Amino acid sequence: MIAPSDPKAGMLAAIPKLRAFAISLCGRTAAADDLVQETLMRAWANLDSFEPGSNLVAWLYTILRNEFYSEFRKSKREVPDSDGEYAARLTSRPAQEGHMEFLDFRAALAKLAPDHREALVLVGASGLSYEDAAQICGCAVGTMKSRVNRARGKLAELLSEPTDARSVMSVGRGVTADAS
Amino acid sequence: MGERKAPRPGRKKMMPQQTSDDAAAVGWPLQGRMEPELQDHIGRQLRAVYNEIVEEPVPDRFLKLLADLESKQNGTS
Repeated sequence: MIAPSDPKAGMLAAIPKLRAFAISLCGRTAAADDLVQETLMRAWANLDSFEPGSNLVAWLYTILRNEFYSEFRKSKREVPDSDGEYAARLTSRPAQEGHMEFLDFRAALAKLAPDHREALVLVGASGLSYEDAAQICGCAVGTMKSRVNRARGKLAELLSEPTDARSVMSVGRGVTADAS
Repeated sequence: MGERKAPRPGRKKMMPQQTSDDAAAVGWPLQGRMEPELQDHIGRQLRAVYNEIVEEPVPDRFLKLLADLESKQNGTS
């Protein structure tokens, strides 16, 4: 497998994880892969600052995240309005009588606040420790635990409530109140 | 165990006392909809969404990038 002393090979192996994190930040857009590209270039240029034996993926994630919040936000290559997008997709479907619809998982995930979704992606999805995730996000471990807690609670709430025209979860996009 | 509204198809029935490791680790307060079953479902879905991307083949542009970076580095050494 990857020799711990070979961060370059580690970077190659980490690309799928970098893409997953980038997509969670940018959505399935060209910006996500551009972000990964930028991350790889920066990581390569700064390999001497990587502490051998430490968590390479966490290090790469930190670079990616910083890149996202500094450059990509500035140039307005941000997350597409996934919240509105998903809500619109839901509310535009005709409500069928007696048919309860629930948000699918991706739609619910898209509705979370960015720092909550990020916490879940780092800890729950990529399996990083709270400590590593906190370091990546530049927050206290307690803060990270609290974000994960709240994110899980909010997701549970979103997944449990049936979506109808009167649902408070609907983003105000001219929902017609013709459901049930 | 309370009534659940319209359970989603294909949802596994799990033991109500089962808790996920990280739920226990943060002293997860169980209230309302935060049942262990739903939290475990969330954990599985999170990993499934993530893994779906992780399992995709690495786009050529990244392989090319790393190869370019490597050869530039070797060229100047």
